[in-house]
Parts: sequence; structure tokens; C-alpha cells
Amino acid sequence: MKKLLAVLLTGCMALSMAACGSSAADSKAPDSSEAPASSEAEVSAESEAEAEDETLSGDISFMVLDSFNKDTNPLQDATDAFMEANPGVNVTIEYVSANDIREKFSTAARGGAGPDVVALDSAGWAVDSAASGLLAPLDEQVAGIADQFYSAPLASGMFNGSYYAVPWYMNNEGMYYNKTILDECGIEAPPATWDELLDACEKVVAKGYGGIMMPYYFPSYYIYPFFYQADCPIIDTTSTPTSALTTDEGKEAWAYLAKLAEIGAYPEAIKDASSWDSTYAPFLQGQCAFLFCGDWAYWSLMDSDVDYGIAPMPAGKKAATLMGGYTLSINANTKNYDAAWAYIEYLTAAEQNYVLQGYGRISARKDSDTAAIIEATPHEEQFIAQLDSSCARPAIINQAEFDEMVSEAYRQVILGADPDQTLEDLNTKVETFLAEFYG
Amino acid sequence: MKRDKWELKKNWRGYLLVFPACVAVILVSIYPMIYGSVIAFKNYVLTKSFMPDFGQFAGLKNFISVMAKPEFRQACMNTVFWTVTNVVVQVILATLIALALNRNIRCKSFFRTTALIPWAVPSVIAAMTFRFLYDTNVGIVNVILVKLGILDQPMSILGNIETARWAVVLESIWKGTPFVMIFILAALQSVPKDTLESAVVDGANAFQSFFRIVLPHIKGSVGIATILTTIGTINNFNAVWLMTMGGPSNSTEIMFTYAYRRAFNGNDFGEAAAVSVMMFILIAVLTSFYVKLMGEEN
Repeated sequence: MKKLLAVLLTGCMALSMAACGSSAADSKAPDSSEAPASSEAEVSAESEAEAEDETLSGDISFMVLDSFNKDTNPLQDATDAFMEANPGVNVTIEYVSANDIREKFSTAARGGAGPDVVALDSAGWAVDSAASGLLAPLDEQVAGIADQFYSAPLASGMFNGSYYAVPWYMNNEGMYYNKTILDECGIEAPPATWDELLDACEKVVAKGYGGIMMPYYFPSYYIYPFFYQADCPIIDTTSTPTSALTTDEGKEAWAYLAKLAEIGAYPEAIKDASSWDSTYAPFLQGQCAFLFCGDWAYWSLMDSDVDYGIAPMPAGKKAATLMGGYTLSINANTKNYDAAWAYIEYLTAAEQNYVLQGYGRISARKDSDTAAIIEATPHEEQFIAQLDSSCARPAIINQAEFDEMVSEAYRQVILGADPDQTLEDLNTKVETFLAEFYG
Repeated sequence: MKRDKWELKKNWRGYLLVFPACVAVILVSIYPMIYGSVIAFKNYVLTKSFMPDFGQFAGLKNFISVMAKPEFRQACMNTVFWTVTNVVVQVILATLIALALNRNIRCKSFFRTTALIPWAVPSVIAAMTFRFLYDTNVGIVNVILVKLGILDQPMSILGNIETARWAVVLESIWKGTPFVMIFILAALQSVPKDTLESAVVDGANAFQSFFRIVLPHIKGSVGIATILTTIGTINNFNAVWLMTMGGPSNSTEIMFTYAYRRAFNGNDFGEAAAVSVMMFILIAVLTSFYVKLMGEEN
């Protein structure tokens, strides 16, 4: 009896381990059991009802932000239409939070699995993923359609001269302003230049309000546009990447940012801003005059009591803002490259712009109907007005590490460190960092 | 050999039952530990996977590189401060609480149960709760400090170098003290009451009774609790990362958060593994003391 019990219990434990193993395998991207897709077949982006190449087949999975999973789901509708036009292809959408999507994809991809198609932030995620060997090159495919997209988001998906991502949607940084506070301080219009911003901050701080809220946990997002406005590329990537931080233009931008810190433009509460929600909080509570953020902040602010407006970023030597958004890439592990590419080409085609409009997002295509976007989502008007002056982050490997270096340097300035010395130290670190990756 | 074979024959059911668990432990603990240690000696920057030396043996390069970084040295100093402060305060506080709970007081069971609540709260919840308590605008700590006149206006407790490390230590002390207290309380139960009574009769005061009678009896348990707390504190990632992410200006960065940052920000798993190996050696030394003390206790 004891022998039988021992064997039974051991068998149960062994089975439970095997079950865990098989459920992990189930969660991986499904393998195609179909015949290899023809390389000559391409999904036409012209019409959903058009007859498609019947050799395009396979199961593909698409990992995308969970903000696309709404009750009214244009993405799923478009995907259903794609599958209808390509009966041999089955697309499964996996929704993941913005905080987890990068790690989830890279962990799965490094394990030889992961989704076939993935949406990646244009803040260097595609570059790092490509450098890590996780993405499939798209040179041949993208070369034919490159001129349909804005250059900045297109550049964000390039690594070592090759394309690894297709631009999907883009956004940029704008300035939300509290109309009540500005009226109280005698500021007639939102600041449009550096001098006006400095002046406005001095006035609101003198009245006891906070000046500027920005994401203190990664102030690089807020800092970069000022460098571009001073006509400084931050890192010159025209040839081997080199630091441009200590050029005259770089020093000018840094000095201006230091001046904002010196006059107390940033309220004490900014040091608690460790997420977008905590960044919005003082502005939402009517304690702060300005919030520098992208169009997504609108969805958190729209039900608030604050009487606010949206304006373009103040201009320095020139108008400029930081471009953001997401791109679409193919997992290097995919067994259905053709089907994955067909899906990407379909999603990024002009006919599918309605998908992004349904989520209040701006397509990265040059031919997107911006008037229709503004009609549907009026708050996008100022962000659309900045599309031509949107600049991408420097396309370098380990963008996150570089961002953190710049962010930490500026946080030290806010905490009272000498700005000139901090900039010199930062420049030294950046040069060492670039030498590590680019010789 | 003959005796071993007989032992195996007699206990084969037990070995068979334990075998799957051993396989699981090897797969999820031993193998990753060995693999991680191997990576520490390799060029393993993931975003350099296209370079010819990726994955190649690099000797002690990662260790030298990491030790040359001022941020790592600061993380080491912070780890010492973090650990020593936590352990000393937790042990002293836990001893005082255990002594109080060991007395014959009314509602003793209620107080003993309540004292365990911080330990039962998940570490993520505890960290987030303290973040709200410390919040500049709405946190109760700032409200009280301003009302008492200690502060003229609210300050960011987690955002300023002078206060951030103490604020995080306070959360860790609140969370960890009950665990130490339970150890010491259990040990106090074993102190012979007649010895204590005899000491009182002989004129010993409370301090003398504690240091001459109680402490020698419980020192083994205090030692074990101290070592376990030290190991737990060195490994306490959640408190630091969720409250300050190692900031401001790396003032709360410990070795664990530094390793995490090197891995997931810098994509340098080689350096991260090197830091992990150093932590492992430190913890292994502490664990050997723990095992030795356990043996002596038994």
C-alpha cells in the first residue's frame, strides 16, 4: 500500500511539473504548421475585400499596448478584416501594459519565443532590440514605403543603417497651461518663447504657485526639446556618434534649463513624480501653472476641474519638440515572416488610419487626414501643429542608459549642483558611454 | 557501501518522493545561480550581441569595471549603512517589544498578534503606503511636521538626499522588526523563571537581570535573528526600488538595485552578474555563520 502511494504521489508531482512546462509552451508564439509562405505573395493594402494570395498562411501573434483594448476596438475590427482577406492567416492580439511590454517581449524573444509582431516605443526600443538580435530586418520591405512616413519616426527604427521597424503612430511633447493661474498672474497668453516662459514662471512662483511639472523620474523627456530648440542635436549622429552637449548650443540650452531650476520653477512636489500620474497630480490639483507632456495626458485631465489649455512648446532659436510614438517590428524568432510583414503593412496602410483615429492617436503617415483627427479629438490640434518640428531622440544603442545619465545630471542641478560642472561631468560620461559602443 | 545500499533500499520511497522537488530546485535555483555566475566572467552586454567578442570569456573584466565605477562604490557604502542601521535598530527595538510582550499584561494575545501585522503586509503594499505617507502635498507626515512647526512648508521626504535614506530605512524597520521580535519572544519563553526570581530576591535590578541572566539565554536566538535579518536586508529590493529607485542622486542605491539597473537599463548582464556574485559571496559567508550558530543552538 505504501509502495503504491509513494509511486502515485511521485507520479502526481512529475505530472504537475510537466503540466507547468506545457502551459509555458502554450503561451509562446504559436508555431506555423503550414507550408512555408511564398516569398512572392504580398498582402495588398488597397482594399480589404481584394482577393489575396492564397499561399499567405500561418498563425501570428501581435503584442500591443493594453490601451488598445477597449470596448469599441477598431484594432480588433481591422484585424478581423485582415483575416477575412487572408483566410490562411490567424492573428492573435496580446494586450500588455506599457510598463511591461518591453520586458515581456525581450524576455520571451531571448528565450526563442515571443510574439511575431510587436509594438515598440520609438524611444530607442527598436534600436536596442535590433542590437540584441531580437528583431528581423525589414530593409527590402520598408525601402519601398519609406517616403510615406515622417522621417523622425522612420529613423527611430534604424540600426546600423538597416530598418527594423515601421512607424505606426507618433506623438510629441506639448505644454498644458492652467488658464486660471495665468489670468491671476496677469499673463495674457501662454508663453511662446524661452524668455516668456522664464518670465511666466517667475510670476507664478511669486504668487505662490508651482511653475512647471515634468516627469522628474526621467526629465530627459522634458530636457531634449530645449536642446533641439537651441539647435543642438545632443548627440551628433551624422557620422560616428559624438556628444554635442558642450557645444555652444548645448551650453546655451543647459544654461536655460539651469536658470529655470534656479528661479524655483519646479515645485517641491516634483520630486515625488515617479510616474505619469504623480506628474499630473499638482497640475490636476490646480497648484501648478504648466505641465509638459504628450497628448496622452489629455485622457487623465479631461474630467478635472482645472481650466486648462494646450499650447506648443516654447521656441528657442527655433521651434522644436520631442517626437514619441510607437513602431511595429517583427520578432527575429518568427516562423511566419511573410504573414507578419503582411499584417504590419496592412496596419500601417493609409486605409487603416481609422484604427489609430479610433484611439485618438496620430498616424506617422504623411498622408494621414489630420483634419479628421482634429474633428474627432480637438485636443490634438496643437500636437498636430508641431508635427513638422518634431525631432526624434538620438538613435543610439542603450538609449535608456543615456537617458538616465542626462536625467540624473539635471536632477542634480535641480537639487542645487553647479550646472557648468554637472554638464562637464555628464559630457565625460557620455563620451565614455559612446566609446564603449561605437569605438 | 553495503550499508548505503541497504539505506537506499529501505528508504527508496522517501527518495522517490523527494526527487521531483530536487529537480525543481536544481532547475529554478541551482542552474540559474551557476549560469549567472558564469555570465559574470563573460562579455555579456546584450546590445553588443553583434560584436565578435559577445559571449566570450572576459576574465575579471566585469568585476574590475564595476568596482571602478563611483556609483557602485557608493552603492556598497549605502548597502553597509542600509544593513547596519536596519539590523541594529530592528534587533534593539524587537528585543524591547519582545520583553514587553513577555510580561503578564492584559490582552497579551491581542498585542502579540497586532505586532505581527507589519510583517504580514506584502512588501509592495508597505512600500507604496509609506510613499503616500511621505507625499509632499497629501502625505500625513508632512501635514504633521508643518502643523508642529518643524517645517515651514511641505518637503519631498523621498526626493531630498538628507531625508530619503532615513525615510526608506524607517519603512524597512517597520516591516522587519516583527520577524526579529518573534524570534526573541520565543527565546524569552525558555528563560527559567525561577532563576529570574532568585536574582530579584538577591537584589538584582531589571538591567542586571536582563544582561546577566536573560541575554545569555537568548543570545543564540538573537544571533540567528540578526543574521537572517542581515541577509534579508541586503536582499531587500522592493523597499528601495519602489520608494526611491535608488535616488535621489544614488543616495539610496544599494548593490541589489545597482545590479538591476545595470541589467535592465544598461543591458549589461555581465556587470550585473558580477555584482550578484559579490552579493552571493557576502550572503554565503553570513549563511555559514547562521548554520554554525544553528548547530550550536541544537
